Amino acid sequence: MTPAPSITVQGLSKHYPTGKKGVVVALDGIDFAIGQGEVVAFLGPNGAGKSTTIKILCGILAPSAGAATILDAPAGTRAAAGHLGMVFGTRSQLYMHMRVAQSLDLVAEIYGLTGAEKTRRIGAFAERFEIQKFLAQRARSLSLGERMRCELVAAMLHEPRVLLADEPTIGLDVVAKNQLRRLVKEWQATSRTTLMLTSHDLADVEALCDRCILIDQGRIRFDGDMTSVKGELAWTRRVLVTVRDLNQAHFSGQAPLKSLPDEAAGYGHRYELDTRELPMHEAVGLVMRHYGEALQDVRIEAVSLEEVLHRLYVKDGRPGDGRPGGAR
Amino acid sequence: MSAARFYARYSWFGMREQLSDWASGLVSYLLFPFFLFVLTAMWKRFNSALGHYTANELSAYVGVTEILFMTFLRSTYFTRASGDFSLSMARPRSWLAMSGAQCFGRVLGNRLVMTGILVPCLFLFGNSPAAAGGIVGRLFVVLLPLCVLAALYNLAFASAQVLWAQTIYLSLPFTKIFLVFGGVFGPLNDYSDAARPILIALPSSDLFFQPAYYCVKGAFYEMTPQTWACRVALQAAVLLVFNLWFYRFAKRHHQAYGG
Repeated sequence: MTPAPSITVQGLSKHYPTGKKGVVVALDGIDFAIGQGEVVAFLGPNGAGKSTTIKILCGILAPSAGAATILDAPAGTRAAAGHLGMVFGTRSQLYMHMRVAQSLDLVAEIYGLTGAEKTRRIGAFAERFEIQKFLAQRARSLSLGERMRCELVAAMLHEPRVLLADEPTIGLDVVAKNQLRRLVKEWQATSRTTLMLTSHDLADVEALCDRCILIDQGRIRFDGDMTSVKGELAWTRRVLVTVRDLNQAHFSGQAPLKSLPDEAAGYGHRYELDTRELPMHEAVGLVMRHYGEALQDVRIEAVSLEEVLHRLYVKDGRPGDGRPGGAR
Repeated sequence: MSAARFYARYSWFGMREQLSDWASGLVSYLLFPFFLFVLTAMWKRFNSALGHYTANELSAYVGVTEILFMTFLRSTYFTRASGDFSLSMARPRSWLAMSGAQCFGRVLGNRLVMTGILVPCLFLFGNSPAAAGGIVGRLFVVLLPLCVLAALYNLAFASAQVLWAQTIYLSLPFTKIFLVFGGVFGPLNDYSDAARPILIALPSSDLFFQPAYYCVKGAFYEMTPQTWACRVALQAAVLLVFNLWFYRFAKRHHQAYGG
């Protein structure tokens, strides 16, 4: 028997009144399920309905229609809340004027942990997330990166089976982001906790998630694994050529190697190709033969997830209309 | 851990948190004796011929009402309660009970500190140690039920913040109503014969005038202690029922307000 999904969303709708009997449809009957131990990115542009979905899952908002469950418990019930851990990049679980240890102690008690077990867990998580030296400090004195690690511990002390992370790396520098991602990844790999991540930082998504759900205008536009979200663009590569001579002519001999607008004030020629139509070794050979000694450097890039999503959000090509493959 | 023990602990935490935020508390703590001296001086100047209080009693009355009023419906209590409400609402505990416990702890913490400041002020105004001890002792008798009421009033504003994005603007007119009708402007028994019975009958008098009168005179004004306790209990029950209903209503109609 397959285990029950960690998160189930069925026909979920949310309408916000806007006055004079107008409504904004934030969610328009969305459906998805997330299995136990999955790491799923929940992506969409601003106003797509991400936060509304998260808030319904947390029980903060009541849906207008449909249902959401956490491990078979209706969202918003105490049973569901007991399974949930939450990390919000823009909200804090710590009490700013109190010492971190005091905040963690209180959070543990909120989830019913007491005595030796509470002490053991705080110690274990503090060690795992490398925050031992911050325990005696007041939360207000910590840097954002340090505080976010403490926030993670606060979210995980009760060992939730589902963790909702909403922009957990917002405002962090590169070092802090990488550290946080590493800690979350290591922890998730051992605990097999279901992780639902909302982030505009796609590096977070690529580093952590196996699957992504794209939401836009209150509807699910794509639900599939990370490799298939790029769809046709997964085969696209960019060849970036740096030339010595500003007057060097562009390559224009073969159709699959399409020329793109230059970069670097004319010294950078850019091409795009579909590797199914033109294998990379042939493309590179063509470029080298064309430029000869004028060739200074060559770089090959895949299309980033950020660009894929930008195209999906901004342009008319939506995942739902067939560009990325593998939609469930 | 029993629920009651947890919420008591949460309340204790709220008090400690309030007192650990010295930066915000310090201003009001420093202003308190200043207000005490200025208001007492003003009352002596304008009301000395009219009132039923000696100069010493007047200073004590001002002190007690200021303690109660300066810690009543302050936006810091309910904005703090609502500020983390989205996280607290998603926890396996009653948001209402948690916010109420926290408000109670914060109000009680502030009032205890201000009572500590009041004691030397009473001596400076010429009250004897016995008189000052009596005033502070009686204040302790009524402090806990008054903190419960204050927490319940704060809680209504916190719940309103679930319904509306901002309720901070409402606190000013509400506090002014209590300021005028509760006896903070002046003792209600000094008001005219026409206004006095109405003002005494209002719930606001139970919050400020009657406790202050009790602390200063040793008895409630035209009321037995039992009557006052019943009125406070009734007020608390009404507020509790209102909060339960209002919070449920507010949560059902809560909007995301972005992000």
